[in-house]
Amino acid sequence: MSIAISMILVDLLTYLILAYFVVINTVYLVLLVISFFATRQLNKSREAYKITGLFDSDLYKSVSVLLPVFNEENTIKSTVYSLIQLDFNDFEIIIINDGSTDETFEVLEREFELFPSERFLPEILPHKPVQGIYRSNLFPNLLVLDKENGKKADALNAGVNASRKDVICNVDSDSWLEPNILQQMLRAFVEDEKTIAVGGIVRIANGSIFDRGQLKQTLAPKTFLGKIQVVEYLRSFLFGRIGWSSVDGLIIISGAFAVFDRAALIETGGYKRESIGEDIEVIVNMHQHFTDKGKPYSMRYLPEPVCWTMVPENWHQLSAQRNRWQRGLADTLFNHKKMIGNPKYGWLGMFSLPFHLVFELLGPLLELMSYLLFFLLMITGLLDPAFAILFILFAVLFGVILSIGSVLLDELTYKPYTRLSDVFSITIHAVFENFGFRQLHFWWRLRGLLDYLRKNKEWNIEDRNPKLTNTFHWLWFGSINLFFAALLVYGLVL
Amino acid sequence: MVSQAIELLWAGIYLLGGITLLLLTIAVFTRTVKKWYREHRENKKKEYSTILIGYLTRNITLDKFEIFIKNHPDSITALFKVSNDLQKNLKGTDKKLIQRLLSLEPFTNYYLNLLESGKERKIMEALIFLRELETMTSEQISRIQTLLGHRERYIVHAAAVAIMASEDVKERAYALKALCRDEQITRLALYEVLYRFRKRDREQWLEEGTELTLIITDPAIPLNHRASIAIAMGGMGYYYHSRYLLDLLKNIPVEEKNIPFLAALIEGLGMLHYPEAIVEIQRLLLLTNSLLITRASIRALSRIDGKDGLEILFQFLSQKYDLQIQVETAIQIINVDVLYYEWISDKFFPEDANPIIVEQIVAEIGMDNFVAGI
Repeated sequence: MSIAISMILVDLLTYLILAYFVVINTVYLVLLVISFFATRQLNKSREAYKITGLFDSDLYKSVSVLLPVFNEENTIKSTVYSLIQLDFNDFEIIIINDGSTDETFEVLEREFELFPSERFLPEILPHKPVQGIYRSNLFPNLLVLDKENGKKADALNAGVNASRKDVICNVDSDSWLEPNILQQMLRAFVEDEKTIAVGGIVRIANGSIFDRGQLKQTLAPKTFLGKIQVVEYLRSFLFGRIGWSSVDGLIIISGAFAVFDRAALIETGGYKRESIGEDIEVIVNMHQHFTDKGKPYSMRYLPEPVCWTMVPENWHQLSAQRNRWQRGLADTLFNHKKMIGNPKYGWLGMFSLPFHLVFELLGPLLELMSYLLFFLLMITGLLDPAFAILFILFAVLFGVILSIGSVLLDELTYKPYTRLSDVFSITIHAVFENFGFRQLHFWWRLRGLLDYLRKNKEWNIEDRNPKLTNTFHWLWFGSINLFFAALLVYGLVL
Repeated sequence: MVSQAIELLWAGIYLLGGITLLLLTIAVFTRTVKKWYREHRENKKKEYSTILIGYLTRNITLDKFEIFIKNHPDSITALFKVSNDLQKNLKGTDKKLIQRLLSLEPFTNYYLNLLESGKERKIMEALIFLRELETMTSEQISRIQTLLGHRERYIVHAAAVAIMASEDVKERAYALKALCRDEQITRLALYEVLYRFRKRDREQWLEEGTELTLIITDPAIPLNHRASIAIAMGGMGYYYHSRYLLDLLKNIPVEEKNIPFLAALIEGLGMLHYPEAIVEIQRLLLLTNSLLITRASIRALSRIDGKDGLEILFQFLSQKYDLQIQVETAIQIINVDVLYYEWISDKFFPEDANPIIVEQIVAEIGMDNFVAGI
């Protein structure tokens, strides 16, 4: 009797996992197709909305670029220079030194000849005290706020308060913007009056050649982890976000580069200081606020404005980043749980948020179950080895199609990799990603979810022994690959 | 059962494998074609740049150029791109020479024919060419006008932008009006067209302003666009129509549906620095609590020269107003022309002003020996 029940449970679990596999891949495939057409349409109308004359008048939207920094003494100079070179008529750069304990402020003070300013700083959004406001003797549109440490969301709130422009553009300190990025993103406001937030493509800077913050040549990263992340980013931005934005289901605009209507951001209370993932939280919060108020709004992702960012190229930093992203997702979904499955929020409530809950947040649990089930069935001899190998091959091929689809989409957009060898290398990594990296990624996400449940709200969870973490990850990565190789050999022998 | 599943999986793997190979082939093919195209374009660019420089240095005459284009019709698009890139960096006679070249019949005919292709990509290509022309004939304009009713909004916008090259104010106003009928056209998109609507020609100035006043009083145009045009009239300096805008402000009933338009008129008059508007702004502030009106008034009063306007502006620092209003007022006061600082005295500040805000205003505008009256 108990064996029969166990068999039924195993069957049910198998179907659940198969359904998970079918649904997640179908959704991704549909998003890929949607993004393909959306990108084509955007490319077609791009020239029509090219704003030229408007910039000679006083009628366009002015921009405040906010750059929160914490202990960035090595990179801060080049980041600020890349911002100063932005091609836009009316913009200001506000650097928020969030209580750095290194020489970040001193580097800024020396390089840009800072002097104290009496700039009016209204307390509209909450943040930790600002100890000083400084202006640059060299660049009149450069402002520095020196404040107590309060994390990124807190720093951004201070920046929004100091801003006197119509639009806010947030940039990460390890990111570089293309010089015409502000003009390009303005297109979203030209196309749609209701625009309150805009995102652009974030691409990986590792490996590419930059000169004083300006991109000279687009090259693929040299490391394995860098290349794998290129595949991930292409997938995530080119079909993930553009696809979700096309169906009004966007829940995140990357913190590395995000543009907001200042008044809308203030109206929604700015950034939640206690949030783990401020970039996802602010977007979902805006959705909720404007829907609840019955105000029409629009959030867009454009394929053309490009922001270049550095990604971690070692295991311990990458695992910490992914852990934080997962906790951020959990935190936001929990904070806005009333939106999930709620028809009032349209596609977002009925489809996008439930999808993110089941497949992105709880996905690792289902994946864990599938691995356990896989081993259980293999050990008990209930799983046909040929079937297992073919199923893995099938799953890998599905993933590869999605990744190659992104590489193809990349060809349609802006500044793809210049060398064919880089495209091949990235395509090959789209295959390798499925062996080892994918499983490790699942593990980081699972740990992120568990850490969230343990109420860990730290920005980054301190890794006490990074060397050990790196070694452990390499070992694990090797073991997974060995297992797959063994499985393949076993299948071939059979 | 298992064997059936395995067969199904094999079929799926073959299918996915095929798709993977197909996608890979397309990716490689796209890249190769793009690379070839880029190189080809670069070569052509070099070739045509040499010819163009020859033309600009008067070594090649316009007639010879025309013969060259007629004999090489495939050169038109590349030649336009090179000429256009070049003319962006030119001024005076050289720019005029390029404009004369682009106005040659083989060029204009080629692109005007594309307008009738029915394909959006080709229509856009034609409009991109046509909007670079500084002058156009009425026949050319009338062919573009047919696109003002196109189903795609971006094409209507590009067509309106192209028509702004016309020397005839009425033709330009017609295109602007056609664009305004679409409620979904954004303020910024409208401003871009309005900016081109305004010719730097004193003789047309009055006529342009009059056409704009006709649009802003046309009930068939959505109110949001009429409001945008009212602001743009201020932003683009149609000073001779300030009185007309003020009369509108006086005569439009203060009703909920008119609030955005009234706020836009205040904004426009502020941009025109029209002091006679102060009394009317004050009257409206007494009649309504609308946030839109208040905000527009704050901005307008800070722009309009005059002690009276500044005195009213300072009243918004009172704590009876929303914090955002107080902040916006403070920022506008800080942005007031430095010359007017000497007017400002401690009496300007309302008694219940937020002391922190007052302190910051005083600090930022750098008024030496100034004692805030709080």
